[in-house]
Amino acid sequence: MHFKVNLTLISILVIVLYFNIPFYNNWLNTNLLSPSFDIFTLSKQTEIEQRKINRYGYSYAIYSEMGRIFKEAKMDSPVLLLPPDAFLKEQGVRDFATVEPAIYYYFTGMRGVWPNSPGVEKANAVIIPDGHGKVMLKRISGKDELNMILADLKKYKID
Amino acid sequence: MNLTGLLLVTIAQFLSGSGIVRLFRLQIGAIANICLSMIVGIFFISLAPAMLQLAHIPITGSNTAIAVAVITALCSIPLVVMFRKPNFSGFALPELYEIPFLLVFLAFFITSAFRCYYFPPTPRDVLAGGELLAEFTIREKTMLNSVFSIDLHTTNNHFKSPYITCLQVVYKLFVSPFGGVWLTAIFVPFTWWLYTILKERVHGLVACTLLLMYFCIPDAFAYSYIILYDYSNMIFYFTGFYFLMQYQTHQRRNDFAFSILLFGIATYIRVETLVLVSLAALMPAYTQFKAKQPIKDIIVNGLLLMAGPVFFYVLCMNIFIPNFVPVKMDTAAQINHNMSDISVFFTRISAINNDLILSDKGLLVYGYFFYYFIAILLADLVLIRKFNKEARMALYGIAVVYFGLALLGYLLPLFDVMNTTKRGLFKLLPLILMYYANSGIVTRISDFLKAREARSKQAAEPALAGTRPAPRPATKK
Repeated sequence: MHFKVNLTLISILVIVLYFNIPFYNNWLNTNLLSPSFDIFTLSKQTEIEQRKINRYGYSYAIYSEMGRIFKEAKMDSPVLLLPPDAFLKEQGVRDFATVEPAIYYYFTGMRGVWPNSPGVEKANAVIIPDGHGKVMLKRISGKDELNMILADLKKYKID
Repeated sequence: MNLTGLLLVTIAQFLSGSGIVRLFRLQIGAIANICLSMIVGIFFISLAPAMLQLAHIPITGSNTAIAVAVITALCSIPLVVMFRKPNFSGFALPELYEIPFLLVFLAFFITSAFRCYYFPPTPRDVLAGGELLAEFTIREKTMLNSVFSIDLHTTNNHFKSPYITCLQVVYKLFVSPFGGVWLTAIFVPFTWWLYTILKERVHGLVACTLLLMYFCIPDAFAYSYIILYDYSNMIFYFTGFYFLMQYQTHQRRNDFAFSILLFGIATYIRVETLVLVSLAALMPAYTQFKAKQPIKDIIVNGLLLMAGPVFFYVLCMNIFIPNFVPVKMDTAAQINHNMSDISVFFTRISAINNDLILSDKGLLVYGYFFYYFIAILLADLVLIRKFNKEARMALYGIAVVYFGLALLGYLLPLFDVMNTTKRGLFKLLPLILMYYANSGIVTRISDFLKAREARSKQAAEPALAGTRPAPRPATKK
């Protein structure tokens, strides 16, 4: 029994020492014990949409809002033109990232295209910078406007 | 979360797995039996939506429930035919010194399980692949859904195994809106089983310390709640390799057959595992060759070992994907067209070492786990200079994954270093644990602890005997 008690103390010592190695200590504090992952706080936010926003961030909230706007506007088959990240960054947009059409479809159930996508000619709305570091939705009025936008966006690296 | 749904799916998973494990008549303990049943069962549950799709039956909640019930019933047949009373002899209470560790492990399990349940799937590969397909499969009741009408030129994830799509469908329908919980349903049994196999080899304190090192691998822990193919692939590949090692040690054909099934499932989850299995197959071939067995037997054995993975490869690539994905995949385009340039292979090895294992990025991904391995291996080489059979096999397994991933990088240019190879290296982690459990240095520490514990037990027994009350003298009437 005496030896087992000693081993138990060694067990506790091993655990304490292991989590005192700076790397693991940092990992423990920033990941497992991080307040943003606190189980008790998170358990209070059970709403599905809120959990998605918590995980996917600001961009998801914007895409979700755009989806809502399209539904309310009762637009006939909305196709959103997703601009390259490099373009948005150059225009001073922060905290918002362009997703690929497949992920946009997952987020909203609506079609999106990149400037180099097949079927880009069907785009009838586009995300543009609002001049204050945020983004806004703009309806594309016709083919000429779309061609002008595409000519502009294709100058940027698309990935 | 629908707890009734979770309970029923878990029972179905356990019964299906249990029936399959019973079929192989493995000589394993009660805990290993439960854990392996859960691990194997998840694969069979995942087949339910796939079977419905193949039969052109709408994937609704009720149809999926029936499909799961039918699969469970079919897989449970061996439980009825080969009925035997449950054996609980393998269960033992943990020693006092294991309890602090077990509490820490429990905290890890709870954290992982909660995140699995709470957070929606995040990796880009599943959002533009398995999860996207699962979400629209449920909405449209078919795997051939509107996802294939959108622009998919930025992703090839819809060509991956339907394993995640199908499990997400089952768990979204019956358990939780984000699915995901299935990962916990294999992470916990796998880790528990790892603990039992470590404890069979080394002292409990050493086993707990090794498992703590495993839990504290940042990315491996993260992928216990982030849905992707690699964690499941690691589980099935390692389990397959473990039973191949068991076959090598005990020459039991059942272990060999079970390893074929597990390698097959690993291949079904990530088809390129076929290359690793073919390299692993050289191990029994070499042993048989050394034992001077006839060449015919060696070839038959090798073919049998490859038969399972090839079957599952065909099931995935030639049956499921063509039936579930109405877009043609150009496999040839994914293969290296300049095979004569073998420098790519060596560049890849260098990248694995310098950009992953020994880099700052590697430290963030794997912690010090690989550094511990290098230190212990060097210590064994310099101080002990002896490797038991299991240690040698584990080292061979490590070499297979290490060189195999470089080979895959050479064969498939899309198999990149910082994502695919990074996660592919997870397969090394349990193999390294297996090596630790057989390492000369570690087993010496373990033997010392075992001997001290035995001595302390012996010393305590007479002392205890002395404290027993003396027998009462017989009273005369």
